[in-house]
Amino acid sequence: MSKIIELKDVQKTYPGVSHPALQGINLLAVAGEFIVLVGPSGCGKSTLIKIVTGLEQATAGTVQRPDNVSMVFQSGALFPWFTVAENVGLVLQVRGMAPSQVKRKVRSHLEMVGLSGLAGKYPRELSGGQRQRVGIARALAVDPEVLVLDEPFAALDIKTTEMLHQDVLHIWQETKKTIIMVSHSIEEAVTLGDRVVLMNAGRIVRTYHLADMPRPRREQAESFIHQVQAIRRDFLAIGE
Amino acid sequence: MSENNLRTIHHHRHPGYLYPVHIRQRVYGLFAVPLVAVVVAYLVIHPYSTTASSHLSILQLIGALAVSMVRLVVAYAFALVLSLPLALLINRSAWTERVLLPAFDVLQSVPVLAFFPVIIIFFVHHQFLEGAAVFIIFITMLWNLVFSLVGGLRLIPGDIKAAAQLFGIRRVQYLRHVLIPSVFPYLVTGSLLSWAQGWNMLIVAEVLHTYLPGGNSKSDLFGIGSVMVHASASGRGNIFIGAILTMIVAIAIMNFFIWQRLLNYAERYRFE
Repeated sequence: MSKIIELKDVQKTYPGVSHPALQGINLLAVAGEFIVLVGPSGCGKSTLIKIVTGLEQATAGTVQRPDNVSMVFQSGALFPWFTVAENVGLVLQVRGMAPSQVKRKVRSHLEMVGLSGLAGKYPRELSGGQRQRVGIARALAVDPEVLVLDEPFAALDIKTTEMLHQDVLHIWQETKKTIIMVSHSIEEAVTLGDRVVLMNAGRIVRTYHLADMPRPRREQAESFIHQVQAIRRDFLAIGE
Repeated sequence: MSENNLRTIHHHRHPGYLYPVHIRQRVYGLFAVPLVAVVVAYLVIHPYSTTASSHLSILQLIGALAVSMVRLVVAYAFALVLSLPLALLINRSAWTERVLLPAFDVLQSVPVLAFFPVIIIFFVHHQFLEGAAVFIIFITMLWNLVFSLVGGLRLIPGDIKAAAQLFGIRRVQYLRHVLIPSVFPYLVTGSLLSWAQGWNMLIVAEVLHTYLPGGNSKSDLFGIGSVMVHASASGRGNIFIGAILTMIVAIAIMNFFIWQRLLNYAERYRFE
């Protein structure tokens, strides 16, 4: 498999802050891989994905990444004055796509996330889960090489989260996109990831390779419980 | 909870926005009271207007109001056009905010009448008294708009800016699709305050002779503000009351047909 992202000895220090947000980060992602970043709050997960998306620049080290990286935000980051269809269509429109093509692509991506009937609704008229689906449709509409998910299910109820897990896995398997996701939930990381990266204090502490774990992964399965416990043990040991 | 309680607040459909009945009732109230007031004003003024040239007819009052409205609209248009670049300039960086915000704050604090001597000399020298009046109203309106917009720009969520950057929404497209819609609710509230202050300043702006050395009422501009001042000065109480009521009606109509609707409409632009 070809590498799509490579970070070598990446460091990030924000202006006016003495303590680096990231240090000595080495991460390689291959095309089609699903990586989940976990770690305590403030460990540098968000900074790392900002560097991957190009929203922040590394202070030191080298970053190789494709130009077309898209993202689903924790808050959804939908424009409240646009309808669902307009939110998805805008990112295509600003790229100079013809209106008829925009319309066709919006329709197909809303179908993909199961929101065909809500194209004319405004974000405030949607549930939290539906908003995140719009965010996913918008992010996929630009046909990214890498899709970054920043804790997209953090504010959702269990049932909606589980449904969206299935949707994300389905989209990942269909589109073969590389996905990098930030999560606070170890169970979520084990459910979705090929690889789980544990971070603490701006560093990668440990990486867990789960690509060989069969899918779909069931929380009751012995291998699943064993893997979650192993990561949890390391997570809790952080800072001791 | 009883059925009655459940029915206390009904919601009416508005394009994309729901608002409770009590707002409509408040607006109707605001509209109905001034309507009665204008009828009273007409009854008070009308008998005098037909008998003596020193009195104003209701049509003349409406004419005065129209002239004043044009001054307000022109001043507001200038303030609106200038306010966004000024707010963007303040918001450009931490440095510009540190320097410009206190500077604009000082300028805002300077009483608008302090501009008069300078402005009067300039505009009178060029025989452009309308310019002086519009400028005074413009200065009054400008700062409310600027500071409201600065507040609005600060409240654009970081994720929204990041999404715009990530999806390549830049320059004119950013201004059109993200920035202006984001600050629209603040633009509306700022405009509402600007107009309120504009109405206040109108009275002063139209009576220019007070500020001219050896000036007389011939230097004043015809408008609802100057009508009010002259009526008061000459003890013509009926005209004074009529002018005040005409102004109240105009403000109430603007409130009903423009500001309340814009305030409701702006809700769809707010971030949750």
